[in-house]
Amino acid sequence: MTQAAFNLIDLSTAAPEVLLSLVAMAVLTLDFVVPKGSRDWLGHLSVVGVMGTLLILFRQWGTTRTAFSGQYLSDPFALFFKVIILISAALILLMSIGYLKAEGVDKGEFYGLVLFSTVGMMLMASAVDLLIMYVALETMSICIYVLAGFLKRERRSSEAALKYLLMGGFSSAVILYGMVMLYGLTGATGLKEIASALTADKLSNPALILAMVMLAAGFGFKIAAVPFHMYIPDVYEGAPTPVAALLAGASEIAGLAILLRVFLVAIPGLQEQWSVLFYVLSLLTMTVGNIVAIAQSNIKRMLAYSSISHIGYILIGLVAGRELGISAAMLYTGIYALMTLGAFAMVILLCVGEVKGERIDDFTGLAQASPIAAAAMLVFLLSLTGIPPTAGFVGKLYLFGAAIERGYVWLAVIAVVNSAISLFYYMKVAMAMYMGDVPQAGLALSPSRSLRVALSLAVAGTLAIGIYPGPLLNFAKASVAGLW
Amino acid sequence: MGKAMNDRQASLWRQLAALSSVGITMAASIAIGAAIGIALDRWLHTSPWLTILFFLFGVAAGFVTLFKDLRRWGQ
Repeated sequence: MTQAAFNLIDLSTAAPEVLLSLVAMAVLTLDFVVPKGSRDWLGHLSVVGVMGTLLILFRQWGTTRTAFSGQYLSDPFALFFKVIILISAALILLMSIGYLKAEGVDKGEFYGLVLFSTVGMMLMASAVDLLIMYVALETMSICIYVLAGFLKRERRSSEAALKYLLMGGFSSAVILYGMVMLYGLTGATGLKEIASALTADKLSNPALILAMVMLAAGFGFKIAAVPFHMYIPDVYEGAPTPVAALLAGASEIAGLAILLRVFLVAIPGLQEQWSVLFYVLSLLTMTVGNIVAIAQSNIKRMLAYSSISHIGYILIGLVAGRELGISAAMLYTGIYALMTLGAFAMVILLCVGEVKGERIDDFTGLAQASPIAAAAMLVFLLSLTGIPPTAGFVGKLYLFGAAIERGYVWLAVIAVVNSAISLFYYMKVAMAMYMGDVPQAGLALSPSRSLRVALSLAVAGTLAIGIYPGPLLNFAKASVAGLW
Repeated sequence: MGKAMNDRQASLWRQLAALSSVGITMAASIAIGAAIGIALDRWLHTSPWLTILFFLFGVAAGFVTLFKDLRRWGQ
């Protein structure tokens, strides 16, 4: 390893992360100054900070630069994931402002923690060294442990935080084991160095296989792949809804970025083995996710299982491999984030007073009470199922197409069957909205304006990508090119 | 009052003892899974497939037990 030296060029390469950290620190500090009752102002400031970071990030478009002795890489692959993560973070912050008001929580550190976890996610996308990767992973996770238990009055929120903390701790330990074994075998922590140190005789070493499985299991936990998914529904149900959205629409995506990078860059020599491993994981994840989702009556739990099943679809891209498969997986990642966040935003829209908007029954009669809100939810549900002209259809088309082209026809067939199963539980919500009558107590919607902005953006994005997917697809394709 | 205190303390210790076994269970399930996989691979000459599979099962089993312990503890 070269001597680590601190210089300003490194800082300018990592400018997006630096800026967002500064905004997060400013929000934390201002929390002490801002008078009680006007803390939503900090939420707006955080959104502005995230948008500013996005602007700075676009300056790195098409360039590849390393920093911090080659541990940090700003390349098109990282840029793609950072764009998704930042857009997700902005949507989540917009949703949180109204939610915190409805729940009577007047604390500015919520926004600070969301921003810090976003910094962790961005670092995860850029990390090309096992050490910085682990630090980034923990930066993200620790913030989310705190966020999951943010509603201190609610027992289930604390329970969710504790469950997530302990499961997260163990999964980090498993990842660390994998990393230690890789380091032990190669004497390197950089991903490219590991790949070049793994000569043919080392590839058959059983310890390397164990390292690979450890990493797959640990990252599998972070992205909620079956059989490492058990904690997800409980955590989503108990955690504040914007935090569940953060887990589904941002943290899992950062986990995917790191998983793709490690498996494609550090151990491509084992592709034959790990593609079988991910074949099995993908099959299990989409099937279990979809089948268990049918039985759910709580919409947050249903969305949890739905997010599990979508991770299963995304893994198909990794199995298919090459530029075609990986770019399809990345395209689907962006689409998945948008539609899942939209669905979570709808749950928050219905969270008024005693009604938490968490039961599927809470959506009964929404079409009569507010046709626009019902139409927005319908767009997300259609997209999650994969019906044209929504983004979900385009994503699935490219993903399953890639699988067929690379010879994984059965995997594609099972995925299509799974999509058909998912229609059942998504349409259960649509039926409640359109067929049911408004309950006698009435159906109130959250008055938050920022939430409506987030919802409109998500609907617009889901429809726009569905109708004209070209730009996002080209963006995904261009981002994969320099990965190997 | 004194008895209630003692009871509460005893139950706390019981809970802590149960939680302390979590780490051992986790490590043991992974080790057992890996051992079965390696042994089967040697016997059936299928290296490395069964090692991968059983090792993964071991990790998954570890997580499942951990999660069940947590649920019990939560109640």
